[in-house]
Amino acid sequence: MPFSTSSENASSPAGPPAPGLGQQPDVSRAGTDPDFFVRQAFAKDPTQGCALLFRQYYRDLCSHAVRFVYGRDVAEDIVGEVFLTFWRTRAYENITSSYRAYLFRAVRNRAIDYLRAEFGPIESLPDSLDELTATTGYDQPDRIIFLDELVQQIGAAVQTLPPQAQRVFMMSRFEGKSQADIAAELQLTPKTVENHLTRALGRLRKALRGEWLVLILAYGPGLYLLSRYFTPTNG
Amino acid sequence: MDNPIQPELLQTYLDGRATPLQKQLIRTWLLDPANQEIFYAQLQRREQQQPQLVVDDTEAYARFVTQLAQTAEAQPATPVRVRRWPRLFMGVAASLGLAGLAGLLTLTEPYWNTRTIATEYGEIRSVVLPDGSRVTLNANSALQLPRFGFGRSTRQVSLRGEAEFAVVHTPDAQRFVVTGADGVEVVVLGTEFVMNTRRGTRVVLNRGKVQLRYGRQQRPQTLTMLPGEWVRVRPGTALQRGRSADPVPTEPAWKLFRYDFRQTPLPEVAQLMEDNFGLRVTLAPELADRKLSGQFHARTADDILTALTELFDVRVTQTEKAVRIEPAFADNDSTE
Repeated sequence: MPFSTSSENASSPAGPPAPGLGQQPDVSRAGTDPDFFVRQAFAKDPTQGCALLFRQYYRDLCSHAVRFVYGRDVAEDIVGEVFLTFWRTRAYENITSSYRAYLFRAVRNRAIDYLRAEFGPIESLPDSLDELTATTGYDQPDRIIFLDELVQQIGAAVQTLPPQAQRVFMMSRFEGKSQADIAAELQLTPKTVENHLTRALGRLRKALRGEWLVLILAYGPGLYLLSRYFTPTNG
Repeated sequence: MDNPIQPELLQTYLDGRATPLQKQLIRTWLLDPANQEIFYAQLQRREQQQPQLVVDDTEAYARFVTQLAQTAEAQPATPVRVRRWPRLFMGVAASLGLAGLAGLLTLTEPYWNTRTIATEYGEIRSVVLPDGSRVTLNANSALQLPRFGFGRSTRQVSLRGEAEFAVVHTPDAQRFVVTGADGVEVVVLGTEFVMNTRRGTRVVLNRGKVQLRYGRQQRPQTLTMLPGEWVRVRPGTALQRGRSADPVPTEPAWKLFRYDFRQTPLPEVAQLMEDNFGLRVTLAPELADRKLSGQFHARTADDILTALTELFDVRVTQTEKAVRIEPAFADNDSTE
């Protein structure tokens, strides 16, 4: 489909020019601009453009988001919302960076929003950095590096958990199992499972240096959806 | 300018193995938006090479399309508004919900905030209220009082049936109010009286002073009773008021399962049995003007019935909850 679209545009000079793109340079730029076909698709039908981006980035974005939030459903929700916002706000119309940079930045920001909603403010990530980002349209290098360091801290926090606590945590966050199910499967008492989860979340909180009680993360996905509903955020 | 940042360095950095110096290099390098594009490309490359999660993007896309369709139908407005109105809506809904709950609680207040003390047929029970007042309930009677705060903010009770009240005087002279039938109220501070709300309201004052409020709400009337006085308020009839000739008994006879009859017409006795024992008594017309005198000790209706058969020449036919009393003449006739 995108191939036929682009060739039509290139061969028919009478066709309406896509916004911001001249007719002739398109062809020459198709080789160097990875977003060329996607842009063409968006000009023709935004839904089709979204479909292309979805196929191209969804998996990788989820894989990236999960490094922050350590939860399958949460990660997929975050990426899904980024795409929804992208479509609803028609962000694709006036995007200045590449689609890839936009999507990855949006996913990282949303993951941070999630962590803030769950754990409270992240001390070492002052809001001023966010503001700068919002005004310039590009990330401050400090912020990018901070986010990558945060990912490493979170990963380390989970990795240093005792093996059993780690297993309980993963089953809870990735297999969507209830505490009772985990207790039955690992032949532990429900109290032990609860303790493991509490400890794991405590480690995460330490990694984030947040101040809020972490128990809520145990009921996180529901609360997260609620918080999404109540706090307007940019994608 | 020579670019020091190679993909390998970025991967090292992303794996968390970059030295502080290397990080500083990357920080400077990232100042250029064009380099940020390269950075994100490397970020994606790493997710492709070392995926953390295997997701089904076909299914996710189907979900996404469904959400898009819903959005397109329901929310054509700008996204800022889309987010704002559910918030307002939630607030309004929550307020309405709270208001509804409050209303419901107010409406059902008599159900959850009322304590009822009731006696069965033939049962006499004495209770001490939280303020120290004692109430003795005759059979088939019920006393209602507030579940919370009785004696502190109010001493308001209502009575169905018959009861003797021995109301204590509180240090702050708080009024004790008993509501009877037809909105009749007895207002006291501390006193002893007997109240009966069956067929109107009858109050007999033993000791102290009470104020009786009666009449329609538009034209309330009050009267003050003196010890030994009795008053009977019944809608449709004039107020009856009298004084016991004898010295006032210190407590009502029924309290000891005793019945004092003085020239009491039999229909009245029958009514008493219905009130206190739940027995429907049918009296043969010939017996309507017979009168009964004497003291009886009766714990059950049978006790009274036995006394009746002994005193009068009557025949008693009893079924489950109904009694028929007729002259025994017919029977005598047949035997003679």
